[in-house]
Amino acid sequence: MKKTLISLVLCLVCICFATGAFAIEFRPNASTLIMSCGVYISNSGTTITADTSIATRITADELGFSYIRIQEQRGASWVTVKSVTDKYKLNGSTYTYSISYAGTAGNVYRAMAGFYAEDAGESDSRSGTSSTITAN
Amino acid sequence: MRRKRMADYHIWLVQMLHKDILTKEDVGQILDSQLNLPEKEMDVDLIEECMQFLYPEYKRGGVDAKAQEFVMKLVEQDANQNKNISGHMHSRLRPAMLLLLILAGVMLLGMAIAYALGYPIWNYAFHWGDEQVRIEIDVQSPMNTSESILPQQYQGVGKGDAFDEKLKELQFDLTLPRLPDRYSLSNVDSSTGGMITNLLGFYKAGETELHISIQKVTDANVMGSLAVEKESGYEVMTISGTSYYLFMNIDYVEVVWVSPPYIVQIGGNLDRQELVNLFNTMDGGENR
Repeated sequence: MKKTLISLVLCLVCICFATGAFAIEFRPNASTLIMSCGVYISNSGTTITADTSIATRITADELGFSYIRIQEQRGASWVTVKSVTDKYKLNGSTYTYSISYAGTAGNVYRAMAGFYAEDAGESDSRSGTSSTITAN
Repeated sequence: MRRKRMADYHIWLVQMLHKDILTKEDVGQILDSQLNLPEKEMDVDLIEECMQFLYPEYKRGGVDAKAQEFVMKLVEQDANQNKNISGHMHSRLRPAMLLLLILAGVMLLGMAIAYALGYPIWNYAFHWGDEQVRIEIDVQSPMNTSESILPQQYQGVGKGDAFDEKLKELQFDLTLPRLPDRYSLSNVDSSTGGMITNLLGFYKAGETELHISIQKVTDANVMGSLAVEKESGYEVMTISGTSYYLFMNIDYVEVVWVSPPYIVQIGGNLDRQELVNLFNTMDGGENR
């Protein structure tokens, strides 16, 4: 019984160390489609603009933004003051989109976006948040 | 002599029972302890006496030889029962252990081959080296690109193709590596929205695919960030004071750098050295 238990433990240890050999098959490459994605915020006076950009490694069937939001800081929390959803382009490798909001001088804003790309049934998605900016 | 001893045992046990010193359960325990002894150490006579008290039918058997045979049969049955149990356990586990050992051996071999081929499998099994690089671009001064003058020696990637033409059209004033003749343009795409303009060029050289992505931020007071998520670590090349981030992934390599107002990514399914050689074509490029 003791020999059996020791043999079993040794087998399990060997399997654990060898598991990595199959990791390539089971762990998908997170960067397959989306090459880069960016969300930027800027202001012209009190007008806040969020610009988003996505680029894919190939010509994708569909790429774009599941959401784009401008958020305003109120106390310790962020409140969405402007948003759009599902902005996509078909058969392309790059897409950009902008939204604007009439902000309030002195308030702090940021932009958030969800990025999405799909090709031949394979999809890739990310999300990003910009730095903050103060309307003046 | 033996018969006398048997009789002594008999008397002894009867006396013990009558005196309520030994109960039938006690005699049963004495019998069990005797039957659990190795064969050579068993007191057959004592066993027989215990049997006679506990089993009346045995008592009627009466002959020493038959009694011994009966007892030995009990001992043998008990020994065989134990043997069957342990044998049964071993026969079940043996194929399972063999299978586990074979599986472990195959996996170990696979791991050794993967490492020999240069695949950092542990990075992917246990997320070692996961890196999320956040590249910030902050342009404080306005770039009046409509009045910018392109360098006279401006040649883009040196191909004079549709990508180079687009670079000139969009007035992308930056230094790029020169691509070898074997690379030919397969696709160009661009997009403009707000302050961002993207330009992408896709090149091929046989089975090798190379992409060039340039993002330009065209307005002042831009505070933004580009999140470049990579699965492994990166190296840094320095060319003429600019840091170039070299990322190695499973199936492609990529160089990312910021030259405000541009963020540039060049990469593909080529090997690391080939990509480094491309950047060595730039002025000041002496990376190995």
